[in-house]
Amino acid sequence: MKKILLTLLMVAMASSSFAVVEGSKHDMRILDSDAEVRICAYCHTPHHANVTGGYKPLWSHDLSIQTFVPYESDTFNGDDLGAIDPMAGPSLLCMSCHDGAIAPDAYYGDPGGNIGVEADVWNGYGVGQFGDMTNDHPIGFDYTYSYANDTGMSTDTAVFAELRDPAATLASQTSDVYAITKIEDVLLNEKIMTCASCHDVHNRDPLGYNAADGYFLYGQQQDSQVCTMCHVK
Amino acid sequence: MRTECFADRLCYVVLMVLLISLTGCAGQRTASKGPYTFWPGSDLPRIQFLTEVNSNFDVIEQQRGFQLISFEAPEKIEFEPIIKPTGVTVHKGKLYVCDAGRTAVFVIDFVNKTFEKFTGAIGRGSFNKPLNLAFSDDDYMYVADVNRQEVLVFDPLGGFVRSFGRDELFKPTDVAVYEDKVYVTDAKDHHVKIYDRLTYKLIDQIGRGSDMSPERLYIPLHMAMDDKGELYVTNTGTGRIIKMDRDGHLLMAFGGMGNVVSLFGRPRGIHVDDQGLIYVVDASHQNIQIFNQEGRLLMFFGGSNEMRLPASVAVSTENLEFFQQYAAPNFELERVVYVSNHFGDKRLAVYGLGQRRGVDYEAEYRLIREEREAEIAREKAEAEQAQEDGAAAGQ
Repeated sequence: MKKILLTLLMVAMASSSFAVVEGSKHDMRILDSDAEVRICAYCHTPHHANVTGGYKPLWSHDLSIQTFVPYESDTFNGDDLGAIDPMAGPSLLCMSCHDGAIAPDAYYGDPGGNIGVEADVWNGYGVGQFGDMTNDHPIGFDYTYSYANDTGMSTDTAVFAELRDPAATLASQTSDVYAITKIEDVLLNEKIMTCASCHDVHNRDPLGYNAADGYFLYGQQQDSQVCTMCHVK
Repeated sequence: MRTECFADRLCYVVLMVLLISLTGCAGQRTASKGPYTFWPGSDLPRIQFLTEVNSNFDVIEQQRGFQLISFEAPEKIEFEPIIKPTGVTVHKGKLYVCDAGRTAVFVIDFVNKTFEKFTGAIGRGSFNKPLNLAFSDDDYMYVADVNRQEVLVFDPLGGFVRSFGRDELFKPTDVAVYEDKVYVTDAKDHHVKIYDRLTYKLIDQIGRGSDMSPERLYIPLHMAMDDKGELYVTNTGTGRIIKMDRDGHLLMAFGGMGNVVSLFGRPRGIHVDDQGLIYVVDASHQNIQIFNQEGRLLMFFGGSNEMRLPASVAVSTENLEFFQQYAAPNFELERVVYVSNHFGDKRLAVYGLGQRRGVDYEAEYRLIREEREAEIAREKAEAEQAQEDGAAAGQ
């Protein structure tokens, strides 16, 4: 858990030289605002302890004051992530809003209008729209395992590797901030691929994009740099 | 003697195998024999998991395998998975599931074992992304379609009547009907918009006071209506549940953003049952919390191993006899609770609210309450004593 926090902190610090979540599509105040004009509370459920005076559920007598762990759950800090869970880590948190009602679950196009939402296909819309990620980029798998075992045309990883070394930096980036970030820094527990492996959700305009077309990505679209951060192509 | 017995058994087994292969296997799963999952615990259980539905094959009777006397080819049944069920509604014993992933509404009749795709949504009545639906007293169906930015109306026979709200609705997420009015939550414009059922004209919009109170609608996502016509809205932006009358007057509010019991992370679906219990789905806590009419938490159930991005809940007193077969032997069902999940292996989960036979729950709860009050009093006295001691030591 500490490791993840450290990683997140590192990523957060690495990103801090940019204008961050404020004013981005993830700044929920673009919709409206609560009285305290908060930004973070919508995703990072506050750890309120409102339960003064021994508040307990009437029907659940044997439970002491219980804390729900919205995303620091077994999916987020799981050290036993051997089994592949497509929603491992923060991905679950993303999808709790990107459900098609609160936030769009249809991408690659204008999510607000009448788009072909049935088309979760190549050049279509709707990542994860049919509830499965089979035709989207996979998440929830072990990157380090794939790196070690997917040798492509040769058995010699060093020569014909399909994926880049997790310890390598996101070197395709010209930005000095992401240039010091390693691939493993954006993996859950330094190995599991999640939504947050490509998307820096706290960053309004990474790499100098404007908020409209940045997609919160770590890498640039130009020359598919975001892909070649990991894929050796 | 022993071998005879064995031979008998063998005979029986062979006969059974023959019987099964001759008649074909019914696809319908049999009632579970346990182990049973209870909430809040197995000593005073109130909720039991009953069964799940992920496709039509979990509902319908289907003939599989070889049939001895059959001159017709077995009917081929298309596989109809439930993918992203955003809304569940019970109407006259049938379960209506809005599936945004399949862009369809499925109508499930558990008792008669049918699972049908709603056929009225064709032509101008086609869905684009149906999120929730509601019925009027005279069986007209109203579907909130967030991508069409409209509410679609279907007559009791399933024929498309018309759509409305194109000019005023930005993100219609849920709908409710009471007498001659239709109520629509707009998650982008933060209002409940009220339409006349006959003229389809917007007549009012409510829920938006001028102050910045947490009771002001802010991303109202789901809505429930009790039999008095009072509205319960999950205000996702402030994490509160807001109860108001049909004119928008605040009647009650509870909850808030937080990670402890009675608070919410991502409140979604909501339902009020006939005895006034309020069920609130939380996509972040992966559970459902049940409140009484005072907004007091009674219990919660679910959890990250049970629910996967739950979206919607519907509660019914219908079909109790049918679902009793899934219940534990001593557990008597009072309500059926349907829950939809966006991910996981239970896209549609069915739970039973009930009680264990022969247990006086009220007496047990009274005991627990008394114990708890005594505990609180004792803690208070101890704290006072400590304070006095501290003051004495200070002097």
